[in-house]
Order: sequence, then structure tokens, then C-alpha cells
Amino acid sequence: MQEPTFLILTALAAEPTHGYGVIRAVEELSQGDVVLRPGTLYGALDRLTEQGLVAVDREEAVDGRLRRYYRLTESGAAALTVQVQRLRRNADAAASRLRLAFGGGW
Amino acid sequence: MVGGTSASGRLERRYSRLLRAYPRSYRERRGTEMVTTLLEMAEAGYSGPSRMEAAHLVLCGLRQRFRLPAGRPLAWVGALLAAVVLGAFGATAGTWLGWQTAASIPSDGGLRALNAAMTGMPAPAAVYHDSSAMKGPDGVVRADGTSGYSAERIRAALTAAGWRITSFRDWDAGMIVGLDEGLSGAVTVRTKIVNYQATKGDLKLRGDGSVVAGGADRGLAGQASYRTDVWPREPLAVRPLTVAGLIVGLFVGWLLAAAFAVRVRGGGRLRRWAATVLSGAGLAAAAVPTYQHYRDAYQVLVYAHGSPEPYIVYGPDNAAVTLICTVIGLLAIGAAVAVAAARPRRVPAALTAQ
Repeated sequence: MQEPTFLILTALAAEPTHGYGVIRAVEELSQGDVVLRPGTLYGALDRLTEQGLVAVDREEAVDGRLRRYYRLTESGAAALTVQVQRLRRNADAAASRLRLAFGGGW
Repeated sequence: MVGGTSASGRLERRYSRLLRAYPRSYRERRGTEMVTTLLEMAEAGYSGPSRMEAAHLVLCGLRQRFRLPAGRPLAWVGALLAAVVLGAFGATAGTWLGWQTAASIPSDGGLRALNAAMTGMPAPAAVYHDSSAMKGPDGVVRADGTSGYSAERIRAALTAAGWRITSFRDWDAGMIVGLDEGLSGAVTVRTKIVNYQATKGDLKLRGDGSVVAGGADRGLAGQASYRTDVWPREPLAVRPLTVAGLIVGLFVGWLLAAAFAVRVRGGGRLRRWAATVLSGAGLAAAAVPTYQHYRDAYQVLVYAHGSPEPYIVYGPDNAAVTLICTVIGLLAIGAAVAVAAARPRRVPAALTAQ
């Protein structure tokens, strides 16, 4: 799973969010490292919807504008959980090896 | 959509224009939502529609046009085949376009007049139109009749018609016309063979003839046979345009198939089934013309530019190349199958156990 995908799923994990909300959440989650461009976001949302990891939750049409809220599906939550475990395992392994080689601080 | 201010209205129109890079069906589904997100980003102070951002959006839109519905392997096969088929037609269209810049060959009347002046046979000769190896025009004039041989007459006729002779050769040969009564040997009559080449501007000419000099006792004397080919020099644009046509055709084929697949996906089972069967039949029917177009494109690309022959002269090298390419191709396919069939090797436990 690529980082933007991981971050989008993470952004949707807490509550259903609309396009701009996802972009903002991803920026916050990554502490400014990842700023999604709209083209990338919607490409990813298409793919994740097709894979059944994400679904449309509801729509808000106000003043000619349309906010579509997306939520994580059950399989989306499962995929994110697996990814979290994998990342945690890898991060722990990396930290312990660094401790072995360089000591303290990790 | 109602813009709050004229500035945001302008921005909204700008975003809508950029979104035209996306397929229409996609815009109908996502357009308003995407414009909303873009406007919300702009209002929140993210970089507006800078050139880079705009280019990225357009690129994403164009990429969307190439996307096929997920989980539809037949759509992939269809798109690939459609690209291959339209690539073939595109290559031929490119070749045709390239030849539009070539010098035009003389009219049938002009070819007959030249032939009559060269051969001394005024009877109307047969004119054929062929295509050269590079798929350009090629006029052929053929004449059979009775006329004495004169090298001077041929030279003078060519020169008078504006041709510059680049090669002229004639020699005596024996033509076998039968067996003698005792079956002890062939009866030959003395025959003049002539071979000539000329150019005129961007036109090329090549011809040969034979005129029986002996054989008066058999009534053969003066029997003559000539063939002259006239074709334009290959314009430099033919090859690049053939390749460009091929590439454009590949893209267009894929794009059309992708648009078709998206449209069909929305239909019912019967409609999908009918679309699959019909497009399968269409692609199958296109197999033969596709093969022909690719063969033509191949000839256009490999023809020896500037050759004195309008046709490809195959030599023993061609068989060797075919053999080498066949062997390389089979080895590559074998290797690909082996790679695909190989099980992923597990990381040794020793590496992960630590």
C-alpha cells in the first residue's frame, strides 16, 4: 500500500469525510509532508471504491456545490488494520536493530 | 453552480474548463464534486490553479481516459486488440499522407507516348498501376509487338521527354525458341537485351526490353517486348508519418475501447453480452486487413531508400534475420513463461528470525 493510499484510508477511519476534508486531514496526519492534489485524490478514491475499501456515505448539495462524503468500509478497515500491523512490525524491527547497532535514542 | 463573487465564478469556470480533460461520463459523475473541492482548496489558501496544478489536473484527466473498468479482463484484451488494429490502419494512413508530398507520375497517355517513342511501336501499350514497396504509386507500361532495335531511338526518346539517363546497357543474347528436329539441342535466335534507368526531377524510371534480331526463317525477327516502370522518389516524410500514424492509431484504439468499455459497463447483462460478441466479431474480421497493413508498414520501413528497384529485393540475409528473430522471440517467451510460473521464493527464515 502506497503512502497516499494509507493516509487517505487513515483520514477516513475516524469519520466520513469529503474531498477537501481528506486533503486537509492527510496534510495534518503527515505533518505537511503529503499534500494531495485533487487529481491524485479522486484517482485514489476511484480505485479504493472499485476495490470496495471505501464507499460514499452521503452527499451535501449546497448552493450548486456538491460535497460527497466517503467512509471506510469493513474491508477498508481490515486492510488498514493489516497495514498498520505491518508498519508497526517493520518500524519495531528497524528501531530494535538500530538500538543494537547504535544504542539508545530509539 | 452559482458563484459567490465574480472572482470565484471565474475560478469555477477555469476549473470546469480544466476538467474537460476528463471523459464526459466521469465529469457527469464527479465534475461538480471536484470543482467544489478545488474551490474549497482555493478558498482555504492552497495554491490556486497555478500552471503546474493545472497541468497535473489535465494529466490526471487524460489518464482517466485510458483507464479501463476494473475486474474486466475482456476489456483489457479488447483495448489491446483495438489498439493493434487501429495502429495498423494509422500506419497506412500515415504512409498515404507521406506520399501526398511526392512528385506525381506521368499520365497513362504520357507513359504510352514515351513507350511508343522508345520502342518504335505506335500501337497503344498496356499501362498498369501498381504500388511500390514503400506503397507509393508505380506506373508500368508494357508493350509487345514487332519493331527493330535501336539504342539511339530509346536514348533520344528518353532525353526528349526530359529524362536524364543514369544507366544504359544492351547486349546480345540467345533466346531459346525450340528444339531442333533431332532433339540434339536447342534452337536459339540472336536477341538484343536492353536495360535502362533514368531520372527526371523526383521521378525515377527503370525499364528493360528484348528484341529478336535473328530468326527470320521462323518469322520471329523484330519481335520485341518492353516493360518500363516509373515511380516517384520516396519523400522523406513517408517513414516518420508511418510511425506517427501507427502511434496515433494505437492511442486512439485504446481510447475508443476504454470509452466503449465504460459505456457498456453501465448497461444490462444482455447489452454487455451483445457488445462483447459484436466487438469480438469486428476485431476478428479486422485481423486480415490488420495483418496486411502491418506487412505494408514493415515494407515501408525496411525498403532500401534510393534503391534502383521500386520493389524490395529479398536476399539470403532476410532468411537469417527471420531465423534469428524467431529464436530470440521463442527464448524470450519461454523465459517469460518460466518467470511467470516460478513460485515466489520465501525469504530464508534466518533473515526474519533475528
